[in-house]
Amino acid sequence: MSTLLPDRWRTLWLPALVFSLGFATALGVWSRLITERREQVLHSARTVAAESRAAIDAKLKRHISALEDLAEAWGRFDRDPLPEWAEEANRLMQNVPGFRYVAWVSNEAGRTRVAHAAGQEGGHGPDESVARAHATAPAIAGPGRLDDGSFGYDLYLPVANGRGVLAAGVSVSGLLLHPLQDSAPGYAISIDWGGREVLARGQPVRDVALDWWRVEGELPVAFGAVWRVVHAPTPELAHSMLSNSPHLLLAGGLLLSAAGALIAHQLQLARRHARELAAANQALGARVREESESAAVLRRLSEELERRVAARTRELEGAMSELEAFNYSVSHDLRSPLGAILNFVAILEEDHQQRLEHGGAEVLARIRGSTERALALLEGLLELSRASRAKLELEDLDMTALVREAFVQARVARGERDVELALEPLPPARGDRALIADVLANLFDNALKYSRGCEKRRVGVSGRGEGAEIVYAVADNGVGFDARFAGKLFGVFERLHPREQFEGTGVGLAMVARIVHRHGGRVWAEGAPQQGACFFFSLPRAGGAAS
Amino acid sequence: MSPDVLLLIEDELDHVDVIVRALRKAGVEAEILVARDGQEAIEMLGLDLADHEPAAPMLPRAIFLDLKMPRVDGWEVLQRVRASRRTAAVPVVVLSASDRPQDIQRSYALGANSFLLKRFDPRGPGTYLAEAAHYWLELNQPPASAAEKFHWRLPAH
Repeated sequence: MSTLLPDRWRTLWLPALVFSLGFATALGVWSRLITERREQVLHSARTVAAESRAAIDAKLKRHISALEDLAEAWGRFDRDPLPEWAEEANRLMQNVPGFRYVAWVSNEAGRTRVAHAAGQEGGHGPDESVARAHATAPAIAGPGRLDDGSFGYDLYLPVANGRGVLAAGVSVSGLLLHPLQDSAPGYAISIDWGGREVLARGQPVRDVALDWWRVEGELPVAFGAVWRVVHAPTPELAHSMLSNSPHLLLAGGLLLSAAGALIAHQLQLARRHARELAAANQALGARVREESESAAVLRRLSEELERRVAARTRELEGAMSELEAFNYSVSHDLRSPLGAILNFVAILEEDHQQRLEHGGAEVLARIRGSTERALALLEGLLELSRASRAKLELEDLDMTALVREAFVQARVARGERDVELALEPLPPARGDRALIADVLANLFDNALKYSRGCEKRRVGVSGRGEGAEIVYAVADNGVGFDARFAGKLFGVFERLHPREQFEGTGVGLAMVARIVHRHGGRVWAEGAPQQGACFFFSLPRAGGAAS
Repeated sequence: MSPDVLLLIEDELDHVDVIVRALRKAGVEAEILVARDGQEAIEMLGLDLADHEPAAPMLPRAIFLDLKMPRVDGWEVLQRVRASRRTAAVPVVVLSASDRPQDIQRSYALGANSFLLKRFDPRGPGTYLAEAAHYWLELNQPPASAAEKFHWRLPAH
């Protein structure tokens, strides 16, 4: 199908084809039916007509042969018919109906004898001169009106002895009436003789379209005379034999074709819609594929990302476990020799005291002091590492109780009593009990350490909610610090005071920061020299999801 | 009666010297045998051949056992000691520089009687070890005879 065709035509070609085919088929069938029927009818008509003509012929021949018999009988002797001729003629007319008269016309005038059929008495006899004209050959003459007014013909048969002519008048009215049966029922019959109608029976159908049904046949009557016999159907016969079924069939075919064309058109439309739908589907499918492809790309990317994160996590975990192994190594390998140094210093002091010079003991003491500090730093580092690695076991913490407990412990650890704790009721927080206790222990240890020697020592603890977190403050009235260096406070091994003044490894606040950061909180400090210090840290509010 | 034997299994010579000095100074009279790693200790205890024990192997009154050693470490020695019926009841004191909880727990799980952290004792080098030796060698009564009598069974670990 050409794409050049307008779209509208594309949906019409199939219906048109269906209609044409359907209509052509119906037409063909119709015409064939009509033809066949015509042939059948015609065949039957011809048969009927032939039989009808034969019947007519038989009747004609019967008159002629009867008359010939008589003529022969009369001609057997060379004399005029006997006086009994009238008897014979009457017998003849009785046996064979249709004769109106039988006459013997003598060649000599005045000797003609005429016998009339019963009821025809007084009718005119033959025209003698005409009869004598046929003295040599038999003849049939007519048609003409007979005495009784009916149509008929005259027969002239020469009598063999040459004395005269046998003449007879025959009515044709009985020709078409068969005593037992109608030879051509349903047909109108007309008989024509030399352009003149001899006889007609029935009314033929007046339809030129049925002229084909007319059967004309020639009937050679006798003595060279030929009748033309026409059989034509009566309207009743035509009506009964030519039903409308072929035409109904044609109409039905037409309707069916139209219906088929309509259906085909609908199908074409449906197909067009299906095609459009398929195209739309295809477009949609393409879009869906594109979408799913981009979704797949996204998924690949996110999987790649997850894979990388997992890989990084593994690397990190590897690094962490390496760090742990390193810590273990340090704890074992570094601690052992340091402990050994201390031991041998002690052995030297105990076993070789007397051999040491005056300054020697002091040198040994310094060796011991440095070694002890190295060990303390090592311990601090390990503690920091533990705080970093310990698993967080989150729970809601009663901070007021925790603070009170930690403060008492810190005071006992330092062996100090003259410090007051100013504690407000604190909002609860969410955190790891042991680690938060470490935080508080370190802060209190610091507070006690850096307020040592001050008067009216006091540690204040307060807390308030700020958004999703609680900010706690631990303040002391100790030596304070220079605010410019506040940022260095939380670094590992960072110190703001000389070691000689305040002991410590510089790990405590680093550990505080590490623990608070692990809880998602912040730490900072405020202070000024000789005006005390205040350390702040924040923790998530209590009541979060259970760990 | 043969003198009591203390088997010290320690690879660090510094530690060995300090410990021996501390024990002698504290008046511990037991014979002190030193194995310089786990493998040596196993051989000395006659635990190196499976299903075959020497006729007259050394059976110490107590074992001081370092954990981190070359070749065979302390845990393996501990396992072997506890696995042999002959040595199963010998008190084992683990000496370690590590205070990692998992190390301590593992030691006890394998059948250690005590876990001592190596540290500097301000009272004198190794004084705490001399005290431990005094306890395990002289005060503590091991279930050695009971082990033979009742077919001492190992606790599952």
